[in-house]
Amino acid sequence: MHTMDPTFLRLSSALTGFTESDLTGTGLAEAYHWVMVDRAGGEAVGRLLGRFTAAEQTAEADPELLHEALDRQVMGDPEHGPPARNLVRLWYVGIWQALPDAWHERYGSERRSADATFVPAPDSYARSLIWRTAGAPPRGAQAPGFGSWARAPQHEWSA
Amino acid sequence: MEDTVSSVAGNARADHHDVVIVGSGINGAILAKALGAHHKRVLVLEAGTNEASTTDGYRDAVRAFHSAPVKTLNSAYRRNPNAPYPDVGDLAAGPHGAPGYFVQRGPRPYASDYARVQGGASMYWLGTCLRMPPEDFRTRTLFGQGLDWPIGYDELVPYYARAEREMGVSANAGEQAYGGMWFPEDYAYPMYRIPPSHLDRVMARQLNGKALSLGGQEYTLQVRSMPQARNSVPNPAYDGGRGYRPVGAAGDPEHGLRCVGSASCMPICPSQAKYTALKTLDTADLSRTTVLTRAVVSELLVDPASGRISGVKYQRYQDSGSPEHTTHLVTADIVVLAAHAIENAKVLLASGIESSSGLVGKNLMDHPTLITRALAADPVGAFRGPGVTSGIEVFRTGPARANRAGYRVEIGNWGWAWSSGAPAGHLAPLMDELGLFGRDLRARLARDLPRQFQLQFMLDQMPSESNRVTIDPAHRDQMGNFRPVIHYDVDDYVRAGMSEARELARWIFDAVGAEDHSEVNSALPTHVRHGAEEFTYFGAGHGAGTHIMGTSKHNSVVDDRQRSWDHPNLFIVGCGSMPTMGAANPTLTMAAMAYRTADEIIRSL
Ligand SMILES: Cc1cc2nc3c(=O)[nH]c(=O)nc-3n(C[C@H](O)[C@H](O)[C@H](O)COP(=O)(O)OP(=O)(O)OC[C@H]3O[C@@H](n4cnc5c(N)ncnc54)[C@H](O)[C@@H]3O)c2cc1C
Ligand code: SF4
Repeated sequence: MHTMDPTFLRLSSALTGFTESDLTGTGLAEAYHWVMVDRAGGEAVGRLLGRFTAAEQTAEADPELLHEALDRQVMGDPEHGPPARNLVRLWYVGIWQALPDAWHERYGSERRSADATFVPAPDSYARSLIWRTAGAPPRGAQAPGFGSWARAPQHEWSA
Repeated sequence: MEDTVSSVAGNARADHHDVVIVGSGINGAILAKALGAHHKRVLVLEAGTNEASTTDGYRDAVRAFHSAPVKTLNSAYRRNPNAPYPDVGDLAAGPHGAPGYFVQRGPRPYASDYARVQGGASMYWLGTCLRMPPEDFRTRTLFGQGLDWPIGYDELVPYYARAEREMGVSANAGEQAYGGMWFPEDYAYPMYRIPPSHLDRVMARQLNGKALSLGGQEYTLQVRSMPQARNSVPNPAYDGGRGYRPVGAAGDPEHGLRCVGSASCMPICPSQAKYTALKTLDTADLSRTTVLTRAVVSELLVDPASGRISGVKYQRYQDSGSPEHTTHLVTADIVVLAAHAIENAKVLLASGIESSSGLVGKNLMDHPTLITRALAADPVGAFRGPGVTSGIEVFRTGPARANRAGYRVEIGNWGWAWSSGAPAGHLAPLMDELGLFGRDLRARLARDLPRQFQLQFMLDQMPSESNRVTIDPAHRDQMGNFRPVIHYDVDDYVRAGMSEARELARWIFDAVGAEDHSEVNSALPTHVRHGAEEFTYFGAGHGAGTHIMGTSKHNSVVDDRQRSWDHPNLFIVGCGSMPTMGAANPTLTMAAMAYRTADEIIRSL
C-alpha cells in the first residue's frame, strides 16, 4: 500500500488555497501523491516537501510569511517550481502535465521517458477544484437540472 | 494491399438497392428514415465506426471526453486513420501542408472540423436551429453580393416544419418571426423555448431597446432566444393541438427527455437531450434498410453514355488501426452523396466528376467567427447550461450587407471556453504568467471565472471560387483515399464585417459595464488585418458550398432538389448545396432541403 506523507496535504493546501479537508474530500489525494512520486521521482518530491517544511518553520504559522517563503523558495525555485505548479494543476484541473525534459535531466529520476501529459484518475476531471471556484458544475459530469442555468449563480459550486 | 472486388452477399441482385446513401449524419439519417417509411430498399454506407452509437459506447465516449487532457471539440470520439477527419488542434495553414488531415494550401487555414463517426458532426454539434430570413436567398439581387438561390424561404416553409419536428426544436414561434421570416398561422414549434440563461437575462435587461448607429445604419438591440434542437417542455399547441412527445436517447428512449444542463453539448451531451442523427436512425423503420459502418466510399462509377452512376465502390475495414480492407461494389437506382461538404467534393473529384460548371469543390464557405470576451461587472454564472441560448439578430439582415458581411451575435454561456479553454485554460495565465498560487490564485479564479462571457460573431462568408477543395495524388490516407487539399481565405467583405462587429462588441461591453479582454494573437495563421484593425478568426464548423445549387448546369452542380445536373440518378446533399448561408447556422436549412430531396427521390423511384 502506498502511504501518503501528511506534509503533502499541507503543501497542497498552501499551494491551492483550499483546506486539507476540501482536498481529501475529493478522494484524489493519494492518487495525486502517487502521480507526483511516479512522475517527478520520490527523491525530488522528498526534497520539495523538505523545502516546504523548512518554509513552514520560518513562517511560524503566519500565513502571510508562509506565502512569501513559498513564493521565493518553492514557486520561484528552478527545481521546486515546476513540480509545485504541476501539483496545483493536478488539484485545479485534474491534469498532470509532463515536466520539461531539462527539469528531468537535472532533477528527476529515471522516470523521464515515462512522463507524459495525462488525466490521472477517472474522477480527476469532475472533481477538479476549478469548477468550485467557477461556481459551476463540471461540464458534462453533472446534471443540475432543466433551467438551472436561468438562475442567478451560486458563489461557489459544491456538489 | 490486395484489393478484392466482391458483392456484399455474393448474389447479383443482393447488392442492388433502390437507394444507396453515402454517410449517416443528419442528412443521411433523414433520407434513410424518409425512404424507409416508403419501404424503399436502402443501403447506408458509413465510413466511421458505430463505437459511440450503442448505449455503452456512448457512455465510453463521455468518459473519453472527461479523460482527454486537451478538451477539443471532437475529443469524445476516437481518431480513426481509415476514415480520418480534421481536428481544430491541427489546422495550421501553409504551403507545406499541416500536420493534420487537411492539406492547407492557404493563404489562410479553413478553420473548422467535423467527425467521421456514425452520426457525423451531429454527435458534437451545438444544436442551434435558425431559419434563414428570406433576403438570405437573394443576396446577389438585393446586395450585389454572393449568389441568389433558385428557391426561397416560401418554398422551404413546409420543409422547415418537418425538419423542426424531426430534430425536436424548442422555440416560441412568435419570437422567431423577425427579419421577414414568417410562420403559418398557429404554427408552434414542438417544444417551448429553452429557458434563456441568467447571462441572457442580464444582457437583455441592459441592452433591449437601446439604439445605436454603426456604419451609417441605425439599429435597435434585442436579445432573442435561439431555437435549439434540445429537449424542453413540449408545447401542447404543436401540430394543431396534437402536441409533441420528445425523443429520448437513442436505444434508451426513456432518458434524455429534457435538457438537464450538463453544459457539454459540444463535444457530447451525456443525457442525449440534444438531437443527434442517432435519434433519427433509432426511430426509423429500417426493416428494408441496411446501415453498414466501417464502409468508406472511395469512388462513384459513371456510365459514360448516360451519365448515370453505375456503381458505388467502397472499402470495408474491421479495425481502425489497420489499413487492411476489402473492396466492394454496389449498384442502385439512385445514389445519394451525404458525406459532408468537403467529403462530398472529395468523393466526386476522386471519381473524375468535376461537373459541367467545373464548380465541384469550389465556393467552400464557413462562418468565420470573431470571438470577443469580457468580464462582467458581476458574476453571470458562466459555464452553465447549453453553450448559447440567445443572440442578437439585427445585424444578419438589412442594407448594410451591400458593404460588409452580415453577422449573428451569439451570447456565449461558457465563459471564455471557446477562446481560451476556460475554465481550465484560465489557470495557466494566472499561475505560470502572473505567478499566483494559494489563496491569491483561488480568489482570482473565483473573481474572474463566474464573470467571464463571450460575444461570438458569426460572419456571412460569400461564395468565392478560389476558396476550394481539391485532391492531389501525393496526399492520401492509409487506405489510399485522398486527403482534402484546401485553398482558403477570408476576404475584405468578411473583414469589414469583423471591423463592425469589433466596434459593436466594444459598445456592448461598455453598455453593460463589462471589462473587454478580447485578444488578437498575431502568431496564429488565422490572423487577418482590416485597415488598422487586426483579428483572429475561428471556424464555426459550418462547411458549405462545394456543390452549389443553381438554375442550370452552367452555374451550379445541383438543381434546387439537389439532383446533379450531369448525373440524373445522383443527388448530392448537404450544406455543400447552399449557394450562400447568410449568417444563420446552416443545419436546419440543410435538413429542410433533405426533406425536399426525399420527396423528389420517392417521386422518381
Ligand atoms: C462543433 C460544431 C458545432 C456545430 N453546431 C451547429 C449548430 O449549432 N447549428 C448548426 O446549424 N450547425 C452546426 N454545426 C454544423 C452541423 O454539425 C453540420 O452542418 C451537420 O452535422 C452536417 O450534417 P451532414 O449529414 O451533412 O454531414 P456530417 O454530419 O458531416 O455527416 C457525414 C457523414 O458521412 C460520413 N462519410 C464521410 N465520408 C464518407 C465516405 N467517403 N464514405 C462513407 N461515409 C462517409 C461521415 O463519417 C459522417 O458520418 C456544427 C458543426 C460543428 C463541427
Ligand atoms: S446542456 Fe447538457 S443536457 Fe442540455 S443539451 Fe447540453 S449537454 Fe445536453
